[in-house]
Amino acid sequence: MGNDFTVNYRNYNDSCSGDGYAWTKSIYGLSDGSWVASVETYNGCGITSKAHLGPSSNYGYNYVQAKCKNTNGTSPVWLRCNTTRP
Amino acid sequence: MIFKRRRGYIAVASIAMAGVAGVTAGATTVLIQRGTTPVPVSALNNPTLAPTSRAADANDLADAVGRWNSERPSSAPGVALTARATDLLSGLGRERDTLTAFATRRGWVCYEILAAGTCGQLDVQGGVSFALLYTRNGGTRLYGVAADKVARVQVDAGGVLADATLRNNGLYYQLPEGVDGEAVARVVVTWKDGTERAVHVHG
Repeated sequence: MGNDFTVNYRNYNDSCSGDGYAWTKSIYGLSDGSWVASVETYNGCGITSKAHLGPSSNYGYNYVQAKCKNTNGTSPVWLRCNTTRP
Repeated sequence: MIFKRRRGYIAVASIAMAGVAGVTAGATTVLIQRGTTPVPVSALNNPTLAPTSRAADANDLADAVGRWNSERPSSAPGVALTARATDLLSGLGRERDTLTAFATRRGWVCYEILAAGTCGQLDVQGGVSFALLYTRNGGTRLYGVAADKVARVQVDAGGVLADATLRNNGLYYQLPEGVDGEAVARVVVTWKDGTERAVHVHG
């Protein structure tokens, strides 16, 4: 309960958006399905906060996908990964 | 997929400055720009600390803050004051990370490593705001900022309570190799007056 592992493909990570308060994570992935970087914050994708993963150049990879994940199993929150840039 | 929303309350600092004013932070007196809410973070008001050496990363986060301000102006940090971005900590962890922070006009503090980060208000969660960053080469680190009133920060990961580095209002803890961020159960914050508060993270 509480985790939304939906993957929305995008090339630019801004942040997730959500409808509540919980620990949430933004993740960068590669085309082979592996994940190379993530940042997780309290309300990281919620109404009152956002997480930002920075440019892919910082991590030495060209990521092709990102997803949001609610990592707080006791605080359900609906998450959505929005692509804000092409 | 829609889940029930958890109710919560986030306090918002609302110290309005009527004009330019002098504010004493530690032994330092700085000028606060008109309309700016001061933050309880002396390191960001300390002119003896050099400006950030990673301005591009600070600006990258500031760009995200700008989008946040546009999308949700009522609950956003406000204008990023990157001209005063400061490296709170450097040379830490497996990747010799630099932790950079800057305030916003509404009194939030934004912080990042490799441009990855967020902004928080230090009047909630025991006077700290923090995040967990994982990268392939650098592993997982917990990092963030602490208010002046915070004396000690400990991280409970995998049942082991360990001290985080706390200096210049910056906090940092490199998790042991093989320990995932989801092993962090809580962060224990001790204020200078001896008060102890636990911030629940996972589990």
